[in-house]
Order: sequence, then C-alpha cells, then structure tokens
Amino acid sequence: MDVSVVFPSKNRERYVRKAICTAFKARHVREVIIVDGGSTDNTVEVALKENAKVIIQSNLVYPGKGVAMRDGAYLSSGDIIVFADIDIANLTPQFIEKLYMPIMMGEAEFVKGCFGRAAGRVTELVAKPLLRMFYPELARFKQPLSGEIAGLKKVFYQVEFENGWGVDIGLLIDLYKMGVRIVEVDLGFKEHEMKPLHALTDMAYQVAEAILKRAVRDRKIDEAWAKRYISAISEIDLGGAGYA
Amino acid sequence: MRSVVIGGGHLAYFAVTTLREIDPKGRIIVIEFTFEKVEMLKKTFPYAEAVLSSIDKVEEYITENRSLIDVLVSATDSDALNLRYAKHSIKNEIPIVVAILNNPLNEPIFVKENIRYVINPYKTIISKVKEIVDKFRVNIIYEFSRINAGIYAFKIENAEILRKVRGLILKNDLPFFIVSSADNRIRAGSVGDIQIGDVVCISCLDKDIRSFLERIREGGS
Repeated sequence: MDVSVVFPSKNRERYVRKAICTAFKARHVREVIIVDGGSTDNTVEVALKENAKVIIQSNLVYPGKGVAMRDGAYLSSGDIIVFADIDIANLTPQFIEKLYMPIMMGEAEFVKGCFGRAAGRVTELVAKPLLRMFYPELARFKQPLSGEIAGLKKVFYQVEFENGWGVDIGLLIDLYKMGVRIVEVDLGFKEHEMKPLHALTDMAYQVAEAILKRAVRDRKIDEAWAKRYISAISEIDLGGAGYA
Repeated sequence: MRSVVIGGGHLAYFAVTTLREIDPKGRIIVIEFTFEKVEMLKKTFPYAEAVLSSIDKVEEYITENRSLIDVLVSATDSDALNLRYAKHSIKNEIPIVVAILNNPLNEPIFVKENIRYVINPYKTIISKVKEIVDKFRVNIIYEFSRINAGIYAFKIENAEILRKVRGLILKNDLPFFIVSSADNRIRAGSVGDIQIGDVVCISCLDKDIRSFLERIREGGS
C-alpha cells in the first residue's frame, strides 16, 4: 500500500523543506502534499522545489484546517493518508511510520497519534468533558484533538470534514460511529510551538460546536438547547490578546 | 454537444445554465457526490442528467466516456478535486477541459499543470472596480495567463489621454483596434483615426500597461 503524507501549512517556510524531506524518507511514502493556507512567505515555492504536490486550500476565509485536510485527502493518490503538523521540530521518518504501521499490519483503519506530554488546554477543558458527557466510549483517547492521524483513504472519503478546528474531533466521532477500527499510538515526544491562550478561543468554540452538532445528530442532546448553547459560547469575549 | 459538469454548487449552476444557453439541444450530465444535492439538481435542471457518484469514481467515468465527452467543467468546492479531474480529463484527451477556481491563489498551480482553461471568478472584480473607479478606464478584455499579457481597453476621455495612448501605441508598435463612439462598431486604422470618446483595445504585456498607467496617473507622459 502506498502512503501519502499531507501537511496543512501557512507561512511555514522555515519548516517546509525539512518536513517534506523527512516524510519522503519514511518507507512506503510515495507523495507529500502541502495544503497551503495562503502563505505570504515562500512556503509554496520551497514545497514545489522539493517535489511536493501543492494546493492552496479552497476556502478564502481562515482558519480552515479542515478544508486544508479535505483538500489534501482529495489530492492524494495513496491508499493510506497521513496528516501531520508541519512545525514539529523533532519530526523523523519513524514518527510517520508509527502512524501508518497499524493500518499496514491490518490492525486498524484509522490511527490517532498521542504524545508523551500532557494534553493541550482545549483538549482538557473542552473536548474531554464533552466527550465524557456524550461519547464516553471515546474518553479513553489521551489526545482526541491530535492532528497527527492516519487512515485508509476510502475511509476519509466517507465522512464530511469540518471546515475549521473541529475537524479532528469530528473525524474521530464520525469514524467511530461508522464502526471503523481505531487505535491510538504513542508517538513519543513532540516538540512544536504552543499557541497563546487567546489564540485558542476560536479553536475551543469550534471543537465544542463539532461535538455538540454530532450529539444532536445522534439524538444524545436536545437540539434547541444545543443551538442556544452554541450561539451563547460563540458570543463570549475572552478579551483578545490580554489573555496571552 | 455532450458536456459533463462536476459539482452541484453555485459555480456549477452558472456552468450548467451557460452550457444550456449555448446548446439547448445538447446533453448535460451533472455529477455530484451527495444524494441530497443530486435530488435538488434534478429539480433545478430538469433538462440535465444528475448523477450520484463517489469522489474516486469520477475518473473512471471520464475514462469510460472519453470518446463521448466534448466539454468537461470541473466546478466542485474543492480546488484539489478540480485540479485532479482537470488533469485526468486532459490526459484522456477531452477536447475542452475547464476548471473553475474556488481560491484565486491556485491559478498559477493550475496553469503550471497545463490546464489551459482556468476560470477565476474573482478576476472580474479587478476590471469592474477599475471600470467604476479608475478615471483612465482600462478594462481587461482578455488575459493570456501564461505570458502575463492581455487585451486591454481604454476609454479615450479627453485630449490628454488621447495623446498618451497614441504615444504608447507608436512607441511600442502595439496592435490595436478601435471601438467607435459614434456607432459602437469596431474599426481598424492608424493612430490618427482614434478620436475622443472612442474605446481603444490594445494587445500588450501586462507590465507595459501597468507602467504606462502609473506614469499617466503621476502626470508623466
């Protein structure tokens, strides 16, 4: 089985070359795809030079991590797709291989990566409490929002991708509901840039929205209440940069 | 004419209605990926055939029907898919392959992949804003994306602009034609035939027209 590696990116010129070269060194990797969010630096040029497939994500409005992932999946030709953050300072070929190996071995159809550090703030304060409430069977995942994932392409083509930050949790819930075999693998230590707290506001809202939408769909929650809740949290002002 | 339009959104809507207008008796097949949209397409376009397909089956459809398809328009909401289908259609020698962009920043990527007909719906914003706001009235009539050149139209508002446009044509020996203000008819001729009120269409490199416009805005000659 061939593997396609997809890196969503925006203004990541200093990481892109290393990420592409590292991914190509992993066994079975036949292509690397950079889905760019409209970089103003040379991310796209560097990626093209390194023989990556390049597309700029189809949405004009950002953030659009989900759109980037969807476009990457659509452009891929491999049987297995690996998604990873481009700014992982200690990215190695083994890191990528660990993600797709359970699929190669026939042990899973979807793999969620986790790391040897505490889960992020949105994970602990938003995703995990909501998952325990509505999808307790998924509470066993250490890092349900991890962006390091791998899956069979045919599996990704059966689900809708959320546009923004809700994409990872949305995929996890939807693939679980479809009966896809999911495993979580420990990828070791991940060294990358942490976002400041104020930058997490949108992410927290989109993650909550993605879970609540599915809870309504799966009749686990009253629709009118969920709509009121989603609308209320979207109006919360955390004070912008003052929270950094 | 047998046309295939991929996608069921608003980009596809304009493509289908235009193809119908061009050839009312032609056969139009619209390929969509969701059942709900296919049902809606059947009602919106009763004259077209709406087909439900999965993302990966479209390429098979194109290959199987390659000898029957005259025009293929890829108008999904994903530029990644549009690129994929356009490339596959060109490889299968479909005579006319059109890709409609969602994000204008992707245009150079499509051009690099030898997709000849790329529609950038945002491009008209530039020419329209110029038409409305710019007193020098340069409109882009046609663009040759590969060589960054085009056919540009100037409205000759006054004697000063007339003099400068004549100078530009003579200096660079540019091909041009005139749309007459009197009867809206196109005529060829020498620069001496250009009159105030006419529209002059000039074919030249994009950089030449931009530097010319900057000069006249700054009051130079």
